[in-house]
Amino acid sequence: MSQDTIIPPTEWVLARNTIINKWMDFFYWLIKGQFPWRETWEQFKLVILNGWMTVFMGSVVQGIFVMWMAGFYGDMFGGYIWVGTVTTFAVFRELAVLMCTVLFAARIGTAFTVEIGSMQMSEQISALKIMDVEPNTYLVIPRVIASTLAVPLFVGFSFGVAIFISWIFMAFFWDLSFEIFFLNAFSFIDPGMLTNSLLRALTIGFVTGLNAVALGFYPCNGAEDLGKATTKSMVINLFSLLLIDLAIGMVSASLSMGAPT
Amino acid sequence: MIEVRDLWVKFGEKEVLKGLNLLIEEGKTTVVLGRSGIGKSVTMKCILGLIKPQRGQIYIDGEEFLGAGKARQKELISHIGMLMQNGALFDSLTVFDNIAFPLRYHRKYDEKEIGRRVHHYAEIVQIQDALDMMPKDLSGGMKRKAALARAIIQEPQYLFYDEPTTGLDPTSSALVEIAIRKLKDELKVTSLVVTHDIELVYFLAEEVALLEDGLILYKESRDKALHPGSEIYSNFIASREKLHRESGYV
Repeated sequence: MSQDTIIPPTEWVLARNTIINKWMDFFYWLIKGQFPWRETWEQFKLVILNGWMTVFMGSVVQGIFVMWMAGFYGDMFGGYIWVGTVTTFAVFRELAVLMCTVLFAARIGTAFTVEIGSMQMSEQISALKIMDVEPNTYLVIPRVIASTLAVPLFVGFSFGVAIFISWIFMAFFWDLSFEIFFLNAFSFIDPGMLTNSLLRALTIGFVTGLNAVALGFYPCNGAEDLGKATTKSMVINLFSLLLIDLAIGMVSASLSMGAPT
Repeated sequence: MIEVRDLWVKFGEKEVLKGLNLLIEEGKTTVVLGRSGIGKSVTMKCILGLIKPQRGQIYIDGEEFLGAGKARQKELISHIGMLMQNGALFDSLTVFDNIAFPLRYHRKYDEKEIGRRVHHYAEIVQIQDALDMMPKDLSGGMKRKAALARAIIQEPQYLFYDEPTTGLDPTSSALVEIAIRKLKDELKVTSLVVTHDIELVYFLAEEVALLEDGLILYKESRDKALHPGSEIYSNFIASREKLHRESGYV
């Protein structure tokens, strides 16, 4: 291969560069630009409206699943009165954050990527620039802040739904009373676990939101490129959220902050 | 007046503009003709700072644009409005909100004044009956007219049109052409139109330029360009007929 040969950047290199540039742009415009309060509030409402049903459905399935596992095996060993504890611990400690962020990346993250990608393809972003509207301030910051705030709310909502559904099914299959279920449910929850879950939700909300928006700016020349950008948004965000979950879990464990040691 | 001097643009290995020179005279409508993919839109986007050229100078009202600071560049292009190829309306906003968008975003006026201005410009381009509609419910021609109203609501001194009639049926094309002509006459804007649609030359042009091989090969007044003996006529306007004849099918 001659020295003059230029190797075109691969799709993943392009995606990486797009994400790095947009992360830098985000912090630059967050400091330099005027904070877009109105757009952020509008985005926040949209994210909540578009995401709650997906999270609700996921939480129902999650509640039934955990209840069934805990109830079935609890019954086998004669300890099903602890189902409330097991379910709450599992959902609160890990599953609510994990499930919510996966669903968030799938439902809201990909929607961000597709929306901005199609705006790019139809020259709407160029139109913004011509109207002297900074796309980073108008499009990026509101979506990222909305994600960061919405994910912890979704996690709280998911937790509530999953626990409630667990109890309903528990009462139906094993005739467990409301008092026994909820009396045991919160016996092992401590403030450290709350901090841990909140920290993970905030961090993952921010990272997945920013990655998804960034990939909307992936160079798109047609439907195929937009499809690639959307797939990358999902894949990168899934890996990101698993890594963040692991990293915060490990740090919390070493600090004994609501994590199993 | 806008003057482009020695503009060079390269995408990867492909040289699109190779030292292009163009003068957009004050108060006139200049139409740049050229085949698809020849660099007409690129020229426009360079003037607007959307594409950074490798080399060249762009003077807007006598001031060098490319060498100016970012804030000054923004100020210089704030006098330019543009109609993008497919209108580029925001899908999630109604036509009214699309037209009002720049005024609302820059908080220029209160809602009452914004409403008055939106109705005024919507009337000029004849889109007043579609203000409550969403862009997806509009025809191609209506979309362009709505985008045109959005482009002029900030009362620009220059208006750029990127293929304003491409993909439209003859009636819609004619309506868009009439709207553009009306704007020119009523608002006295200086216009730059890039197109491969010859009808636009007949109806709108005062100056006609031919872009070929990265350069403006010829620039002539409308009457001269439309004369069958002219370079633009023989190189572009009559090329279709010539190719048809050469093919032996006609």
